[in-house]
Amino acid sequence: MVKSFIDLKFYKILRIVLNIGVWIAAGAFLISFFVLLFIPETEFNLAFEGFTLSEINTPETAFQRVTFLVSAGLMMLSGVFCIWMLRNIVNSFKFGSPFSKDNVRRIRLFGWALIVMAYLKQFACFITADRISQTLTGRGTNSLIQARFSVIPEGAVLALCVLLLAEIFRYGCLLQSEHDTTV
Amino acid sequence: MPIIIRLDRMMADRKMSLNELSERVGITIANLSNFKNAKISAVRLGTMEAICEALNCQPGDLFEYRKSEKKI
Repeated sequence: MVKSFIDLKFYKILRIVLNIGVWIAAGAFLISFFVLLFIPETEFNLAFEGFTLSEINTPETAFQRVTFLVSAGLMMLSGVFCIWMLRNIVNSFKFGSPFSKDNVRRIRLFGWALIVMAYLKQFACFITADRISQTLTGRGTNSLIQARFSVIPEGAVLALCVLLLAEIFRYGCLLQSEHDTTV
Repeated sequence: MPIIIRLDRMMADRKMSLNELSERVGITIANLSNFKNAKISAVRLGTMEAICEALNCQPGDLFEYRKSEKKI
């Protein structure tokens, strides 16, 4: 089954996309991080899921800046790491059965990276929303934005599913090894 | 491992080579060698039946249990 899968055009395209994608993601991470580092402090656009807030004029403290930079940087780095793990998993298909201990470790790390990403995204959004809210209140406007930190973000649920999948995969790996050592 | 596989002894008694046994049983030499060197975790009943038939022996002749000595 695996042998036929690696012969599929889909697999070849997926491998090329992930192999190129990981370098693009790494490059994008470096560029984005440097842009974040040197962006004018008072004005930037915020892209949320579904809408964008343009030309926000908010002062920020050094602590807010550092925490935002660290959380955003780590979040992007986790994203690159996830693509790197996916690339390694897809590449491992070439060497026979995907049921290997290395792949279990990769799926597990992928799950943990997703958790880190989900909470860092929450944290970065929380800091930004809080800053906008404080600015609007400072200007005498009733702020409609309220910073809220979700205990279980959507990404964390997905990550838990991946971790669960890793455990199922570990069991599959055990069965494969038992099958391989049975005569 | 406390289970000792006596396949080599049975083969020597019957003056049968690994190659010949492999042909008679229908499993690869590599797998048979793993079995002989106890590098396996399980044996299928079908394989046991074929080996016993080829060597004209009982499953008990192929295995031996020795209590593992506790290290002090």
